[in-house]
Amino acid sequence: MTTETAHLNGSEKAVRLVYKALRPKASAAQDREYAELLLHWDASPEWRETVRAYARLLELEVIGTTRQKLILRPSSEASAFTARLSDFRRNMPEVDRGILALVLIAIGAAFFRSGNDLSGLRDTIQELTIGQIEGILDELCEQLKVETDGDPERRSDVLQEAWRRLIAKPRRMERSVTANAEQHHERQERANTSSRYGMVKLVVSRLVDHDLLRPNVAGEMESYYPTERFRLQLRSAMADDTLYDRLVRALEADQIVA
Amino acid sequence: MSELAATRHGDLAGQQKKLLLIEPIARLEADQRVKSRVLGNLGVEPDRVDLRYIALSMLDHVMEASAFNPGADATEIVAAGRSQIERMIPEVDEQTALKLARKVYDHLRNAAKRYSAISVEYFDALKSNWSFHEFHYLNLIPDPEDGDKVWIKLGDAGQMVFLGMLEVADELLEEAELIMMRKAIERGRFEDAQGAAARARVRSINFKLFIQDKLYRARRAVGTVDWCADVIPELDGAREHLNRRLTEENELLRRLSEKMVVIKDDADALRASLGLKETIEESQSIHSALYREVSRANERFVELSTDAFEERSAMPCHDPEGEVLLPLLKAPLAVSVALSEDVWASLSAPTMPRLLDIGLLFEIATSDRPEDPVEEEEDLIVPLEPLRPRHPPEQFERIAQWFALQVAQLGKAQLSQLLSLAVDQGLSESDLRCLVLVAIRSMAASDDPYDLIVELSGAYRNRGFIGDDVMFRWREAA
Repeated sequence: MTTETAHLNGSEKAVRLVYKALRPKASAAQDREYAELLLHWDASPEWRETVRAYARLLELEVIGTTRQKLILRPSSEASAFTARLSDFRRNMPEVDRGILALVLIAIGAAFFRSGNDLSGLRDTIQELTIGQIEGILDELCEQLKVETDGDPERRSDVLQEAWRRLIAKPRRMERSVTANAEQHHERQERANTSSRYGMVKLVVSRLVDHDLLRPNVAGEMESYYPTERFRLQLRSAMADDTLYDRLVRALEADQIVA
Repeated sequence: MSELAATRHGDLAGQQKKLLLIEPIARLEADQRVKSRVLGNLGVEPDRVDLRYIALSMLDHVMEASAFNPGADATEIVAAGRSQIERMIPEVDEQTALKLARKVYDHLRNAAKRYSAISVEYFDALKSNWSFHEFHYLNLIPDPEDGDKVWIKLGDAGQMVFLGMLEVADELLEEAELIMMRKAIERGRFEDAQGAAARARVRSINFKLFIQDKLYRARRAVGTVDWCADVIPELDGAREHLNRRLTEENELLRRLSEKMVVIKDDADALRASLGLKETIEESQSIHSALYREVSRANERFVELSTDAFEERSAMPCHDPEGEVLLPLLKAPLAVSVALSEDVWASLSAPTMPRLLDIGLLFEIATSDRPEDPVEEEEDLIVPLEPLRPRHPPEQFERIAQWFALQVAQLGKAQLSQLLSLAVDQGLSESDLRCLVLVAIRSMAASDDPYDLIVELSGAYRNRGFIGDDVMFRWREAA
């Protein structure tokens, strides 16, 4: 049936598919071989097991497919394919590392507020601008500020509550007066760690690079929407025995220390 | 209030809600600032364009585009609005028209309110209080086949407003349009016939959307669709409709061809009739595509039912906001710091192991090092350790004197001549290198202690090298 993969046996095809899937932005729409391999994936449940087995040997796990791609994630922290924050920014100050992690979770929560939203049974897709994501995070911090109104700040630096540290960071580096100027400044504001907006912009652009978010440029406001990869990865992270468990353990440890 | 009166008020509240669907579009036009902000700079009167019309044309485009695809492409919706603006104000430039069209699109998507439902307040007469009616004109939807592709589809309000524009039920409309088309062709009014032909497609598009919706639902949760009771009768209806339409369209094309022979000398009429022919042919292709879809629908449903038995993850999934983000925000930042690598890894695609990344190289070169104090900028400028001189000062002094003596004795000397002389006098390799350094120093007037005149003079050849030779002259000799 095929021309690109006809000369390969089952194992070779499996290796090719894993190789293709290691490039997050590669898509069957632009790659005939990839398209053929995905058709084979759809047609043969036995071969799917072969692909999964090869992926496992490379410490990768197949978490889903779309018409355009096979979605993999590293199966352990020690996998050579696991992205490391220290590779993204070396020597990032501790406070910024913590805020970056919060921003990542906040972006996930802005698009998928509840576990139900992650189930995949959704009629519509949420899209948001960078300013709106930052706005959602701000509202949550403000809400916590109101709830703890009057509580003394006893701790400082990284021992201070995360929301206080977030509010302490400037929202924007540039001030604006009118709505138009606001939009203009949103575009001008740089993606960096010196403001909350810059942090969100920095993380969003990285999520775009990793094919977790895509820009939608039809309207005047540049918005972003999550890909199937984002939904699947966040769903994995929010399940038991994953990031969620480590979070619960970290929070319990903090309670004991406090 | 009597029961009868209450019911009647209740009924009106329902109608009132329908009326509210048009209010945000009307408000967009009423708010003159939107238009004057964009058009003001051009000196164009804002009342040359009606944003309600632009909004409706965008909804119309979405409906039309849905004939071929699950929805419309967002950029094309904006382009459709833009072309209407350009029609209303011919002198407007492309960028301005685009900007205004984008504003209308953002308004229909409720972009300013996080793309959420549009909310309009109304008085609920039955409950005697103010209430909110929420709706969407346009929704961003995933492609039913490919989760990563997105389309814009008419939302609940978009559909109501669009159907409202048509005024009649789609089956009646179709009949009416067909009659109009036949009459229009007979009378040679091809432009009218073309409009009617485009409008007559609505029923086909509705069939298509219905089938797609059911298949989409079946894909997500196969148990929610009663295929035999709900869908099969619709498929029969669609088949009947398509058979009739294809016959009608062939008949229309036949009549049109006859008419085109009669009007062959009237260029305008011929152009209009060609437009109509294209529209009818386009309708035929829509109908053929729909026919394929109708024929495949049963088969697709069986496929999707089989897929439903495929293994699925049954992992419980926690709420990202309530169960993760909020606890993290309340906890000390140290907890987020401790989890930062985990969070980063969880929300990244697999990354190729890096060997040398040029981008990273630049960052390493410019980033602060742990041993560097970060706060005080002055300390970043580390005092430069001067390099140890290649030649000891005594040697340099000795060779400089030898050089000055030779130039003084000769009056003028070329570098090649001096080097040969040095070799003849048995100066060491190190002395020769030092001599070249001394000579180079004399080339910069500011560094030259002897104030020699230096100029290029002839070529210098030595084994494999060739270059300009340099002449040194004592100033008195000059």
